[in-house]
Amino acid sequence: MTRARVLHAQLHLLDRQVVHDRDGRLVCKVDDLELDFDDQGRPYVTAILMGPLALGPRMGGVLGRLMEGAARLLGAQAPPRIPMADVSRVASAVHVGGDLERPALERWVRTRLIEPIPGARHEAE
Amino acid sequence: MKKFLGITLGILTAIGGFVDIGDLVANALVGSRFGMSLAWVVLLGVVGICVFAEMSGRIAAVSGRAVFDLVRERLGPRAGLANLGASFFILVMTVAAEIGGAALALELATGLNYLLCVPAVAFAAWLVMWRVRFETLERVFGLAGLALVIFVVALWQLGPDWGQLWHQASHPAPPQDEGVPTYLYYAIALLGGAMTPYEVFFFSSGGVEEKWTRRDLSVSRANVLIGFPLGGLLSLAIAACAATVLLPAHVQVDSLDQMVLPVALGAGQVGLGLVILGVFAATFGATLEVALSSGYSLSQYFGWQWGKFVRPREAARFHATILVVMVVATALILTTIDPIMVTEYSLVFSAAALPLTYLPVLMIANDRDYMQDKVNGIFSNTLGTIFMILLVAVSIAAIPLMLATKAGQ
Amino acid sequence: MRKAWPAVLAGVLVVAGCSSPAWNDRDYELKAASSAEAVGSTVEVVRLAVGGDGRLTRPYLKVLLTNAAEQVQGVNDQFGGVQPPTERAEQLGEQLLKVTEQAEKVVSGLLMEVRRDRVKDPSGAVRELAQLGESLRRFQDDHE
Repeated sequence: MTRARVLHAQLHLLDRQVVHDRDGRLVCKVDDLELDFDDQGRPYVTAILMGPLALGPRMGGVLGRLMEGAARLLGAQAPPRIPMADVSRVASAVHVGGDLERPALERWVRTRLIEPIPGARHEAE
Repeated sequence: MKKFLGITLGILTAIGGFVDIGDLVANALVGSRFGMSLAWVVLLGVVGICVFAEMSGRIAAVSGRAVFDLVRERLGPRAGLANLGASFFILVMTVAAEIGGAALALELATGLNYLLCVPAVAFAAWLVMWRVRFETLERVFGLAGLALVIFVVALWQLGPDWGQLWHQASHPAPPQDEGVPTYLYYAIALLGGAMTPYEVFFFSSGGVEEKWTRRDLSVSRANVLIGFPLGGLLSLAIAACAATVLLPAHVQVDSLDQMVLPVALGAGQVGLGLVILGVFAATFGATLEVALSSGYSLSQYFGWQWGKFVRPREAARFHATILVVMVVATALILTTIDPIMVTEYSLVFSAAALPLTYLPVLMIANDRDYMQDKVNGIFSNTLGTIFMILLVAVSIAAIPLMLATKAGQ
Repeated sequence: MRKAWPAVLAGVLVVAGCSSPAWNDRDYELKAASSAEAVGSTVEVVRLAVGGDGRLTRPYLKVLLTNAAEQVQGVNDQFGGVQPPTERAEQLGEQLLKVTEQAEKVVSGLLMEVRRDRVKDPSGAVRELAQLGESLRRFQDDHE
């Protein structure tokens, strides 16, 4: 039997790597957390937020605003979220399940830049 | 044999750190100006990089996290971004210099102007990163770089006055005609060369690429304990060759062709051929190491999928980073900027940023959340703490010394 | 404050120019010494390389001599562009340039020979280079 662990949001969640359970794929960092309040007014974490719209405000300053502005300019509206229900394990990385859409930048770079180069779909030799 | 091939990651990492283009010339320059009186810095650097590379390899094996994951996790997004910005700038400059270095080696072999070789070298390096398996890459270039052992052979054949070399090495002070600030400046440059941050970026990411687990901890340790001392030995041999041939002639080395001269004089045409091959392999290997490190550090900061263990389309942003870095670096070196000067400056700048990389490594190596029962022992922590203090002192002194000595003139 | 502008501008223009000026005799002397050091270093490299001629490959020797010739020429151009502040300094500069220009001639002559075939008289060249190196070193020691 394992004992319940106390998780410190700042220490154990924020800025950790998110890994997909099924194939070990690297998903993103925990760029920010979505909080809600229960009946007694205590906060609890509802989702992991990722991408520039989540990281920008945490970064603050000119760079943070720049990051946010660039993402909005490219049509992003809200940061993608992974509900905490999908989180299966928190260790040196945060393991998640469920179906995830790939980030917009990854999709764009893949179809526009990487896939046209011969050999993009092959294993290395 | 298989066991031996298992340590090529350490060898390639160390070659990129100790004998890449900037260090090749810096080691020879130091030998020709200060004799062996800075040998203690190389030894200190070997111990330092062994301590931190061992920690980062252990972290990679136990938790699967590479160094820039740790930087972001412990320094947070802001300080992490500052480190990323500084590191990335240095990496791009270094890639440019290494491409130039490999092209200079081709120039020495063929007599063709190095600028003509630059595009071909850059394209070949990119192709290797795009298509060749990580293990193959590290074996081919790690082993080919061992041709630099010719410096040890040449030193033997030059028949130096060993007593004189030992006397210089055991009296760590500047020679009469050199000032203390210049001496300290080169000490920092050598230490910065031995402990360049991209060594741990590459080494820990390489461990993840090779899918190390707890069972590979001994492999990781063997890589560290053989690779880095070997790199240190090569850099001492280069300095000793220069101290034997060039110091008495009052030559101050400032180019690659001058740096290989002692080998040619000591070991003849075969030696010259081998040393040029070794320089090419070392600088080409360093190009791969540094360019991959730029992809690793950016991807690990933002949490992107990275690595050569997946198909390129699965790690599109990682491969795009490498492609862009290679293009920018090639353009930079084609402006005819001197590749050797570029690395000498970047060595000192990276010395100023050292604690930002090594502090998170030391912290995570003590974190049971990551390491479970494999946290640092007293030995690693004592050495790690001593080196942290040293690195902070070095990072404060680096840039003022550079300005005061006009970069060691 | 306004009056400072022309001076600052002049200063910037001078610094931006290819050669830095010498403010006084001593400064000029130090510049001369460091030029002698740089040329001396290159001359010695060439001496070692030509002395070990049989052990070096031709492409390598060619690259080494090309770089050496460029280096010596570069130092000569730079030092030759510095205005000597006094007559005494001018004499000193001429004294040095006589040696360094001779060095430039010898090195580029050797380069020509290697481009065509190989060094014709290695031992003669070594002797000449050794003399040049020696006088440059003496100059440096006297004026540092």
